[in-house]
Amino acid sequence: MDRDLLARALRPLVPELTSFARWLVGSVQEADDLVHEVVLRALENAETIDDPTRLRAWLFRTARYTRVDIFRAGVARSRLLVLEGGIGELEDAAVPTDPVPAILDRVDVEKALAKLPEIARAAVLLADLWQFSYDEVATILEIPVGTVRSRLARARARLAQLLLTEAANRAAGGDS
Amino acid sequence: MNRSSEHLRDEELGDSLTRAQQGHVDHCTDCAHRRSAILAVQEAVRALPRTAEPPAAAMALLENPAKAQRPWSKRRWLIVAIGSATAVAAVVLFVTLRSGHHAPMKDDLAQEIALDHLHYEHNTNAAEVSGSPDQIGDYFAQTLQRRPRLAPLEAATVVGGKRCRIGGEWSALIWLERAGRWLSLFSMPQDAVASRGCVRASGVNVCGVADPHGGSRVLAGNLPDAEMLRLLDESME
Repeated sequence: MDRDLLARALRPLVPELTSFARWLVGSVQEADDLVHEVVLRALENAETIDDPTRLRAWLFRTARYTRVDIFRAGVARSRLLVLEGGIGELEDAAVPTDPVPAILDRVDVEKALAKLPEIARAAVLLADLWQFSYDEVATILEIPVGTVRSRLARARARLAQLLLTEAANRAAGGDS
Repeated sequence: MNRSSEHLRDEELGDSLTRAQQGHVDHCTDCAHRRSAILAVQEAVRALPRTAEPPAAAMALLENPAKAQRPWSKRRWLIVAIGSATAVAAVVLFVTLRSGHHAPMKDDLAQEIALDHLHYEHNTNAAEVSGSPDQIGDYFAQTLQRRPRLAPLEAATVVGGKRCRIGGEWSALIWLERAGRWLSLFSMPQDAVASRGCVRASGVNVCGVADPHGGSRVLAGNLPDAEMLRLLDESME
């Protein structure tokens, strides 16, 4: 793809990429550096990017592994970096039958998300927040589609449990 | 919630399966609660901010993509600096080794010898003495008060000799001819050769060795280093 053409296609995607980057790394500054690096890599590889419909997923995937490249030394704390491990704790996650409050506080949602294993959190955010298809989530996370489905199901169930607990704590006047 | 329910939620079932599954969910209170719980979760996540203020530097790249270049990191500068320093050190070491104590003789001495060689090349009229090696040895013994050893050399003919000043000292110069090539053998009283080896001077190969009988011995000509050094060794045997 021509560099100018690619740049035009990238512009509307960068705000989403920035949001994703802030979930990936611990600080705004590091997220900005990551976005800069991903944009630069995209421009450097313009000739290999020929399908604009896959550009968005390409950016997210590149951000994920670039974050590993750049911050391998562990300078930044990641909320999504370690994408393996911890998933076992979701094995017994069952969807609660109690009704989840219709209106949820954003902070509660973010706190509940933070308690998920990283691979599960990434899958939920990519599928439910940025509305990637399961195939795209599989591409971004470099895991099979079947794994995406199972992890999403468990993650959503656990998230529902956590949000119910949070709502119950709040109702009881406590804090988790 | 079973796997079919997940597929129902994801709208991935066929019409008949969808109807059957929907029928089950419609009459299963727990299923309906579970489904609404998952939908509430999805809704809650979807309500989070999808975008963030993009960094100005990244947007600037996209404004002028043709000039987008990777900034050099401190680490990369460090690598380049270390690489450059190593290269400079290697060059300095190389030059030191080439021009320092490992050189067989000083450049100006090699130059003087090479010019003498070229000056008298094939000029037999300049000879002060000619004849057998013994006769030549006798001449230098009389004139220089020392007798340079000159053993027979393989496939080389002694043409003649003369006295000459090299490095300010009177030396014996003996001309040899080998396969049509003119060679000048210098027997010098001073220790002018620091190490066994050859240097190029004025297009002439100048090879030197320390003479075990005292002083130095240098051969100038245009033969390969190994052959020049072998001739030098033979001349002193």
